[in-house]
Order: sequence, then structure tokens, then C-alpha cells
Amino acid sequence: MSSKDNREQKLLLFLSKNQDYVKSENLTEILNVSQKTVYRLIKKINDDHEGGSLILSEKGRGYKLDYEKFINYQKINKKYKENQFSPSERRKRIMEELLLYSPKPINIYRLFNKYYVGDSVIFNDEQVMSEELKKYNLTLERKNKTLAILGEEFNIRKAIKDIIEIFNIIDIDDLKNNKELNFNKYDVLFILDQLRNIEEYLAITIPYPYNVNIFSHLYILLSRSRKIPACNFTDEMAKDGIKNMENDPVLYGVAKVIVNNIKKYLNSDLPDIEIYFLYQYLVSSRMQGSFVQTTTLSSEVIQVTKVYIEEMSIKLGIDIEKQSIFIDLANHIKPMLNRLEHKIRIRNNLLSEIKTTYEEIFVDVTNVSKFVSEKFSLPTINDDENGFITLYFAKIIETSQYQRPIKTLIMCTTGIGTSDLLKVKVSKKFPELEIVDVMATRNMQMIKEKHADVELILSTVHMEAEVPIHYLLVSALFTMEDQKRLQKKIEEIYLER
Amino acid sequence: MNDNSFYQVYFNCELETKKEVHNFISNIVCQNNISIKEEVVNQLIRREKAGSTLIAEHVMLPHIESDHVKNSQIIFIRLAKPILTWDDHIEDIRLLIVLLLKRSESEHIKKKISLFTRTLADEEYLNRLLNSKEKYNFEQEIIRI
Repeated sequence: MSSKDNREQKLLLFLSKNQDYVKSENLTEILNVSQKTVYRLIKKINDDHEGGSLILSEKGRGYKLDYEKFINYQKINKKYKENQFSPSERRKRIMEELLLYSPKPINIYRLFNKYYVGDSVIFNDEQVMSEELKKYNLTLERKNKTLAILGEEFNIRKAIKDIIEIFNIIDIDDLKNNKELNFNKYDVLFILDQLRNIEEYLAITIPYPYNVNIFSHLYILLSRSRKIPACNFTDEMAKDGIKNMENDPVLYGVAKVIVNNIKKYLNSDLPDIEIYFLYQYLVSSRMQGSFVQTTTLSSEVIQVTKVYIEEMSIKLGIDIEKQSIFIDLANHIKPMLNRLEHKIRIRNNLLSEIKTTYEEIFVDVTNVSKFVSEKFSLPTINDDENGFITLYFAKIIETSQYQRPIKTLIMCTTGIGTSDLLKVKVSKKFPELEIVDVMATRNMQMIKEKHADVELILSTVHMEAEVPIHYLLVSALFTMEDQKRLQKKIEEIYLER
Repeated sequence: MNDNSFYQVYFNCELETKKEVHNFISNIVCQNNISIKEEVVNQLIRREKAGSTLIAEHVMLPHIESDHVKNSQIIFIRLAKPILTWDDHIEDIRLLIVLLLKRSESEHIKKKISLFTRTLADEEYLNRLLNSKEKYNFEQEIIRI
């Protein structure tokens, strides 16, 4: 994605998070560009959008997203892009084709034919693709007007998975019915069946994104096996790896059964290394269910988890109750260490959203990850992984686990009319408030005796007497405006603590 | 539904102003004593001055606690025609739910009333009350509570 596209995305994402107008100064700050650029960017977004302006502007107030249009826009956006190819999209498509057929060479003319590009462009594309493939230890070979990608099977599959975008946007539950995705329907049904088999054998459920990961792996396995004969695999199996696999009879057994099913489905033989490949994916997935609890955590997992919790606790300046997060996080760390070891990458589709929403936490996690990598001599922990870990800590902050609830009193003249109604509305929208009582205003003086520790009074009627407690007058309607004011008040109280 | 029942429904009420509504309520509390009626009206006015009792679009929840209330009651007033200007801020009122609370009411009744007010947080429910065309349907909604 070019940096410009990126900016557009970031801008839209930022606006979508703000209900109200956003000043253009804020946008220049967020995007780190000039005011003019912001203006141009917005104009471009609005011009490109067919159904009228996506971003509304108002003098003196700034910019705001037309939310309804935005949601529609997101839906349309994917389809609209299909008709034309940017250079990077063109390269991606060509690389897809080459990867799926690797190591078979494909005629250059056939590859580039439909894109109507000249020799110099083709030459340039080759350079760029070659560079991209280096990341996966793969080479692009040009011979007699053909191109071929060469390298180890494991690396080729990894590249396929990263490059073919479709694997990053699929939703397992949606797969069966989604006709837009260009998957082979029989393959999809077969693989979903295998996923269910895995879950049944192990009595677990495989949550997102691991289910997508295994799905993609199996789908690629099917496509690859049809296109090239298996004997072309050049990979050597790591001996240690195989030993580990054989020591894990449960997962090994499942991997064997599934690969056997695939053999039957393809009606052709597969090399044993496929069992090992699949086993890696199983070991590296986070599983939910009884099977997991019986497996113990290794001391490395425990150590790494501890370091994350301790370091993040210092960085965020909060006390993290260990029990609350430890098991969850450790259950994530365990397969993550496996992924690192076996270089399996899971895509984090929410990454850009996580980065903007929890920017600070993400930066902190990234730093702790660096520290962890050094301390435990692990490979670099990438942003996708950091994004997942960020969510564990964001959850703590979001659920205000470290903030005790605010003791709140609700009042009106009788203590029985609008106040009761308000109580229901408030507790629905603001779980961080603990409503201790509903009272009549004439019983004000009883507050001190009965509820000395109350921190906030919400009232539907104006109060004459001054009280040394946070106080907010809200309407019984509990409008958006009221909710915003209450949110501010809550933040004020948190700050004072 | 007789006069003593806890819930009372006045369907298609021909009331056209806030003042008429207040008088109507005071009449329910007490039919012959003018000074008591006046006091009830004043109490209603004071409550509204202290804070709006609008609980949803088109719906108000006037409520008072008074020695003059003999039996606590919840009264539904479905207006025949909307009151387009209630006061300077509030417009287009179609339904009033009035809580009349006897002073020092028993905990049991208080609980009953507070349970009822909580159901009003359900917008769907309010919409059904607002949109029932027949008195019978309207009453059915209330009985269901």
C-alpha cells in the first residue's frame, strides 16, 4: 500500500472514531502532514466517492465523517477496486500465479499479456518482485522468456499466504455462502469439514485467526498439490522437529489423519513432510477447550508471560492483577513462541485499527517485545504479534479492571420517578458506575450518614444545596449530550484518584 | 379498571395545554377542595422547574409525592391530539405517565412503582404505548407489565 493510501485509511479511521467534528489542526498532527495536504486528501476522498461527500466539513468546527456513507463505502470499496490494477496490484497478481505454479516456469508474454505493459515495465516488475521474494528466501529466475520462482516449499507457501490477499480477509463462518471470494466450493467444504474434524478429535474450538490460518494452509496445500507433483519438494525436515512431533502423540495423530483424508480427497499421494507442516500449524494455534487445560505451560512460556505483565505494568503505570490476565496471555504466548520458532506468521487484520486506537499500549508492547526477544534469544516479534498482545493489555484498561467502580447516587424530587428510570439507562451505558442508591432530594442530608463514600451524584433536578461531591444534572431523557457530559465527569473523577 | 386500581388509563384525552393537564391531574387527586388542587398544581410546576420530566420523545413523566394523595397511583394520559407547545423548550407531547405517590408510602408499593418506571427505559415499550390505536390494546400493554 502506498503511503498516500495509507494516509487516507488513517484519516478515515481517525474520523470514524470521533463522533463529533475534528479540527483540521488535529488531523495535521495525527497524519503528520501540512494543512494543505489534509485539505487535498479530503477533497480527493470526497471526489472519489460517488454518492456525495464522505467527509462533511463545517467552518470553524472542522471535519466529520458521514457515518452511514462510510459504512457503505467500505462495502463497495473492495468490489470497485477489481476493475483496475495499480502497479503493485499487478505485481501481486503475477507473483500469485508464479508462486502457485512454482517451480514450474511460465511464459512472460502469457503472464503480462492482460496488463498491456511494455518491456521496461516488465523488467522493473521483475526487479521489484525479486526484492520482495528475498524476504522469503526465494529467487525469481528468468530463462528463455519464462519466469519461475525457486526455493523451499515451506517458504513458497509462506509467501503465498502473505501475498494472496484473500486469505487475510476471509471469515470462516462466511466462507460457505460467500460467492464473491473466488474459492473452489468443493475444496472449501472439504477443508471446513477437516477443521471440524480437528476440533472434534481434540474436543476444542480453534478461534480466529488460527482457524483462518489452518484453512489457508490446507487450501494452499490442495492448490499446490494439483499444480505440481509432490516429489519436487526440496525441503529437509528438521530432525529435532520430527522428534518433538513424535513426542506429541495427540496432535501428531490428528495431523496424520487429516493428511490421510486429503490424500483420499486428492486421490494422490503426499509426502510425509505434509504431516509435519500441518503439525506445525496445529501446535502454533491457540486452542480453546478441555485439551488445553491438561497441557502444562513450559517454564519458558511462564517466564515470557511474566516479563510481559511486569514490564507493561511499569510502563502503563497500573497494577495488573496477575491472575486475571496470566492464563489468557500465557495461552497466547505459548503458540506464539511456536510460531516464532517455525516462522509461521499470522496476519492481524485489525493491526491498523489497533495501532490507532491503542497507540501508546502498542508502542509499549513493541518495546517490551524487543526486550523479550533479547532476553530469551527469540526471533524478532513482529507487529502482527504485538498487535495481538496489545489487545490483552487494552482489555485490562478498557474493562477498567484497575479502576474500581465509581459509587454513584441518583436523585430526583421523589426518588422514585425519573431517577429510577435514569438508573436503568445509566447502568446500561456506563458499567463503570456502581449505583448505590436512588434517593429523593429532600433526603440530601442523609447522604453523609448513609453513603459517605459516594463519589458522584446524578440528578434529574437542580440541587440548591452545595455538596462537596461531584454532581451532574442530567435530563431523564439521558440524551447523547448527557452521556458525553457524564463521560467527561467520569474521566475527571478518574484523574483525581 | 375502576377508580381505585393502581393503574388508570385515560385514553383520547381532550387536553390542549400544560395548564389543562395539570388541572386534570389535580382533579384526580382531589375533586372538591380548591386549595388542595392548587397545591398539587404548584407541586407539579415546581417539579418541572427543577428539571424536565421528559423521558422520551413525546412522553412526559410528571411525578409528585404528597399528603393529599390517598392511594398511590400510576396514571396514563393518552392525548387525543398532541400538545405541540408544552413550554418554551418542550414540544409535541402525546403521552403522559403520572406517578402519584402517597407520602410515607409502604416499601412494597414504592418497589412496585420503581419496578414500573424501570420498564420505561425500554423504548420499544414506550413506542407501543405511543402507537396503540385502541384503548383495549393500550390497556393490554399495561396489564402485561
